[in-house]
Amino acid sequence: MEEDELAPTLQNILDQQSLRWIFVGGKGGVGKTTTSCSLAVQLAQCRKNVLLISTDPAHNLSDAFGQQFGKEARKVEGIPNLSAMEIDPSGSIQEMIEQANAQSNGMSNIMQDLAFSIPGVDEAMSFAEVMKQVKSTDFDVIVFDTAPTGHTLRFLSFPTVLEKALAKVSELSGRFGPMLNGLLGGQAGAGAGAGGPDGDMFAKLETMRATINEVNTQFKDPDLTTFICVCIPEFLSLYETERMIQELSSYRIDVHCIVVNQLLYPAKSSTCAQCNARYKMQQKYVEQIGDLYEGDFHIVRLPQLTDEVRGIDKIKTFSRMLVEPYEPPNA
Amino acid sequence: MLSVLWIVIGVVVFSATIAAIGSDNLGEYVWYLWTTFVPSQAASNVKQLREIQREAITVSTERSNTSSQDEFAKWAKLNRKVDKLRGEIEKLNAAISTQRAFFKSQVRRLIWISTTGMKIFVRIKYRKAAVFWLPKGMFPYWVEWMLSFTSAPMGSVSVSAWFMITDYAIKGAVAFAISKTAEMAIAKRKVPVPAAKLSDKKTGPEKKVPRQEKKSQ
Repeated sequence: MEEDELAPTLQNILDQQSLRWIFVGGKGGVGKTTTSCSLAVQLAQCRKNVLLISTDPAHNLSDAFGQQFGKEARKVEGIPNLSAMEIDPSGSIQEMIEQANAQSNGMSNIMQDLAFSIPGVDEAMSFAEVMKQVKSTDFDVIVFDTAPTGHTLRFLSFPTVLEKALAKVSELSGRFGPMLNGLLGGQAGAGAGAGGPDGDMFAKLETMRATINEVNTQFKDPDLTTFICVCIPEFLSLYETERMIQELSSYRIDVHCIVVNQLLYPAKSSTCAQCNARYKMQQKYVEQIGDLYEGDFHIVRLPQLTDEVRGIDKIKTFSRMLVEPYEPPNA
Repeated sequence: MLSVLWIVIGVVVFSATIAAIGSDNLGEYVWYLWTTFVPSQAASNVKQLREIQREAITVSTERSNTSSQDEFAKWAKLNRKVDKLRGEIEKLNAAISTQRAFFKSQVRRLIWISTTGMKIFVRIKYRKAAVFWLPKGMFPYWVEWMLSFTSAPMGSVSVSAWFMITDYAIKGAVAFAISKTAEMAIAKRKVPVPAAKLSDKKTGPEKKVPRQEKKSQ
């Protein structure tokens, strides 16, 4: 099994200095947060400034580090060049709607509803927000701890989907805007004279599109962005991982690392029937993973520990296993 | 002048035949022949599509015969193949349907040229020619005038008039032929009836048939 053509570590990620965006994703409960925290800790040792962002609505960075994080990037205690933040994908869109509602009129309301009902737009906006923030500060690399699979995929597919949708909306508004304006003339009042608020709205949409376009090009560049799939050796997790990898490659997002987490290595003398049975099953899937992805992917195998990986020290010890392949004790 | 007479008949018969087949149906047939026998881009696409479809079926049967749990790697590889083939099928289908629409529109244009266009052309070209002469004094003057309409010499039958006459005749002939064929088809279907009558009268459907016969008589 150790005949991998590619090293079974994430060392390649640490060595790839050009990387700016690293996504960590997988099904819920497979250890994404642990993996992303560990990776961030490792990155902090070889980069100047690292940012860890959680986009999962069920934030657990705070739990993992035993420290409260918020919307603003905050330094992780004990690691001066690592910062972390938790963003709520639905939060920023809410703000934007509220802000827009304050100066609303008939036409811009309709267009807003249209624009905001596009799938993925909320994540897109939160992303744009993050990019803006990240641009202003100088982080060398940003690690994303993403939400479980379905969410993540929508998040990453938005550039293509959204660009089309936004193009349509702005085309529509260009065509029907004036007419609707005429109809709603009474409502819009004198202010709507020369495009006024509407023009504003469309300009906003346009800038939104431009930002998203930029995100798009950045994410499709394998020098800048990569995705790390985390899975556990179980059928559903593997199935989801395979689907995710296919989908990501259809969006042309680079994937070349798979982390297989929660591997059991019961002692040979162990009499625990469940452990032994599970070990056998896991080994079967590990073998399948090897068959399927070897040659194209770095496959990192991580063991199931007896305690939760919480607190900086434990994360630090755990993170060593990302760079030095784990050797089962009684192998 | 006999030639004009036959040209007109030819054109009318030809259009009537096409109308009977239906230009859309004809387009389908020609498309089928074109893609089956003539080496072209469309034909190679259709051929490729059939091959890929066959392959997709084999691969997806193979996939469903593979346990996704026990042989995940094999299953996933087959699944990738199926997805890829599906994508190709979709692409080819789209390409073929545009080609087919274009082809059919060309066929329709050709049909128009060879029927309606031809009629117009013949009418204009032979507008001054007499298709044949009428025996003198056979018809009153106003009938002769109408038959020579628009610019054929007086006392002859003009191309326009001849077109109308042949058109009427051929349409009638076609309608007659169709009704005759239908009648023959019905008659054919009725052939087994006497035999059924002879054999057994108890079963349902056989009782119904003689009633129909009575009605038609």
